[in-house]
Amino acid sequence: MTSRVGWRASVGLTGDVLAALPVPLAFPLLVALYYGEPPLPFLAAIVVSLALGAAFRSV
Amino acid sequence: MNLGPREAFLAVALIWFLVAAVGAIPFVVAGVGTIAHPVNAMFESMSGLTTTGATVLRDFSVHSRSVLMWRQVIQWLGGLGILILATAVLSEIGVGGAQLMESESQTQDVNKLTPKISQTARLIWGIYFGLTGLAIAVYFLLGLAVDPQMDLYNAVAHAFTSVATAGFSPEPLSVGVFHPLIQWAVVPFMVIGSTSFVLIYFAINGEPMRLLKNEEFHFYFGAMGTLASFVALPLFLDPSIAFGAEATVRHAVFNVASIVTTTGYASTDYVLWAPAAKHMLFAGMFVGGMVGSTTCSIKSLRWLVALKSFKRNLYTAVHPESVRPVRISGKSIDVAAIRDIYAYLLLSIVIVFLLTVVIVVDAERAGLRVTEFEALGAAATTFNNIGPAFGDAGPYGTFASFPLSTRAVMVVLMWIGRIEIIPVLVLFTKAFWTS
Repeated sequence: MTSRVGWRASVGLTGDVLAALPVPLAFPLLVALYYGEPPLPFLAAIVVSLALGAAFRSV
Repeated sequence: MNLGPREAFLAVALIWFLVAAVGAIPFVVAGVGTIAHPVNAMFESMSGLTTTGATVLRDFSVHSRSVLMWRQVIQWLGGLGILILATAVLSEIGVGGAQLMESESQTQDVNKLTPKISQTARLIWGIYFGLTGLAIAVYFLLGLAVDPQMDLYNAVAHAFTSVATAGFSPEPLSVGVFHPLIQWAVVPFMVIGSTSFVLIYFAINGEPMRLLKNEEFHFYFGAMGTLASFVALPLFLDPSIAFGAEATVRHAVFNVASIVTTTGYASTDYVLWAPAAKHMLFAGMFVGGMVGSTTCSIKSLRWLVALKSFKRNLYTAVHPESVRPVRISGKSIDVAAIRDIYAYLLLSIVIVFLLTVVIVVDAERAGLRVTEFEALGAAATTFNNIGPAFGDAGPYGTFASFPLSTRAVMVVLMWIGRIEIIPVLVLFTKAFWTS
């Protein structure tokens, strides 16, 4: 059965959005650095969003 | 990249879910408080991204300022996302009558000004950024003048979630912790955030009458004013609540505006109010702001069309030979759009009812006591993306009091409700994938 949905385009667009997510994540990261709080939660999310974004864009 | 309606549905559903999932990572990695649990982290992130504002936090003081700020940022991001979704995607593919934005000369006019979606998005972004900047300045300056607790951090945090009509606050007592003047100042930003950004664009560019003569705008303000009056009345009459005249009006106006605009802030714990006032707030959960805004819920335009259509049906029942199209701001509404709106209203009410049953049954299974009204409120507030409900899930309470399984269901319902039901439900039909 052939799918009638161009899912690659949808997944590619999702990848674009995920790859852009580090931009808003940078804001709380800066807040963490300013207040001397651990930056790891935001760095981890940035790494995951970049990896997922790249994976989705390459489909 | 060419996106047809099916690809748009799939992309919208995927983006909203996966961005919420990535947004939950900081809560889990921080490993502090209730949101360290993956389901709770997903609840908080989905509540943020969908601009719901329901929280599972119990103790705000254990969380870092950066984690609390991330909740605010993700809500601001959700508000921006929904503006683009509403003006550039949903109106094009006609979800639940969203194509009426065109008949209202909203999307159509923007597209004439900016023929590409990217340009439309930039235009909307500009207004959104500008309003956020204005809110930061107003809150911060008022903080300097009357309340040092409204510092730059709180000004930025609350500007993010008032323009986005989202409702998270780093303060456990929400906006109620601030000076009354600041509470009054928040109201216009909630209202502007729930007004059509396309009409705001025209108002800024010297055509305010397009906004002021808009029928949906009249209906929306009329509904908000009526509800505020009906909430203020029992508060005035309730001897156990000694607010005073100004405070009574402020709390009525603030909390009605917060619920109707689907923001979800609170200026006081309205769980303690008389049942009449609380039931009015519950009714307000189903109104929603204008189409093409950051607001959630059913939205005023759908109610306006449904009411006009019902009035037309009453007339044609007496005069079957007559032809009376339903008109909004002078333009007749397509019959297919009216049918879509009826279907959307019915679906929304059925989903809220089913979620209510799930909440009550699951609470009983877990040995918790949740009244029908509290369950109805929690169902309506999560599905309509408003924020606080009643009982333990009230404005100063937490959704962590519900069983984990209920919270997982609420995550899905917030997702479905935010992107207007159809883009998610259609993915589960065979016809979507094959025919």
